[in-house]
Amino acid sequence: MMFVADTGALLSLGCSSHFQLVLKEYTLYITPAVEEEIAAFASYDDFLGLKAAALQRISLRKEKPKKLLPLNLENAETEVFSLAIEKHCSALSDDIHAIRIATQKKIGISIKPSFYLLLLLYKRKKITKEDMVQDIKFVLVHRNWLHGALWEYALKQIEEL
Amino acid sequence: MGIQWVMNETTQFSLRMDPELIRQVDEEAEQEYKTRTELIKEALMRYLQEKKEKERLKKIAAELWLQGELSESKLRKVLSHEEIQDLSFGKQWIEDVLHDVRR
Repeated sequence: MMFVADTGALLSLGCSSHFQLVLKEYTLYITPAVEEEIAAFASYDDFLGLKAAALQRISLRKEKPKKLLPLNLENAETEVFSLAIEKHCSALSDDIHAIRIATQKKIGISIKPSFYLLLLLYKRKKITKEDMVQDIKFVLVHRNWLHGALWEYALKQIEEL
Repeated sequence: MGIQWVMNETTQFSLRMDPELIRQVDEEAEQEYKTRTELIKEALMRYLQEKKEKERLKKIAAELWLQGELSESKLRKVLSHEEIQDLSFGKQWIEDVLHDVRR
């Protein structure tokens, strides 16, 4: 199963203690603009900077979309959503605003949050529910207000799965 | 005109500002017996703290709305129209994703 991931989703997954398992089970694509954003993050000597530097050491598959969709979003999101359409796979993003804009354009794209891959691992009995919840809680610490509120809402429902 | 900014830890970077703004910063710093660096650092920290506090309040309002404990009209007092659209969309999107996983 393959996905095209944006920077935020990759950083969230990079915080997961099951990131190596995610990479083993799923094929993640990035685009040149995502690679640039990761490099920009990696220039900071803080928690996310170190996570971004770790991502740079992983050989993720990089591909540029042949055609960019007119989404009026930032380069990285536009590339990610465009490539996902071309590859007939889902995009991974935690950027609610970008996801809303892309969804409203009705381009037929499937976009999933980063924790979707953890949910799939749990559903396939590769990780326990406790592991999944622990991972999502850890990612939550580094989310802004909107994603923090939404992810906590998701977490409550996930705990009831 | 550029100034050099040395942080407490290890990072140093240059900052470009209008000469008029630098003059105002220097006058303010002199009145408060601070260096230019101290004054800019304090102002920046205060700005970030205020922003963080605003986001904390937004998060509380969003959480209450998501739990059905805050009406949309009250949510509008804290969040912008665009933010409410994102939040509302995000709620439905998450529910759809979880529904998809449950199947």
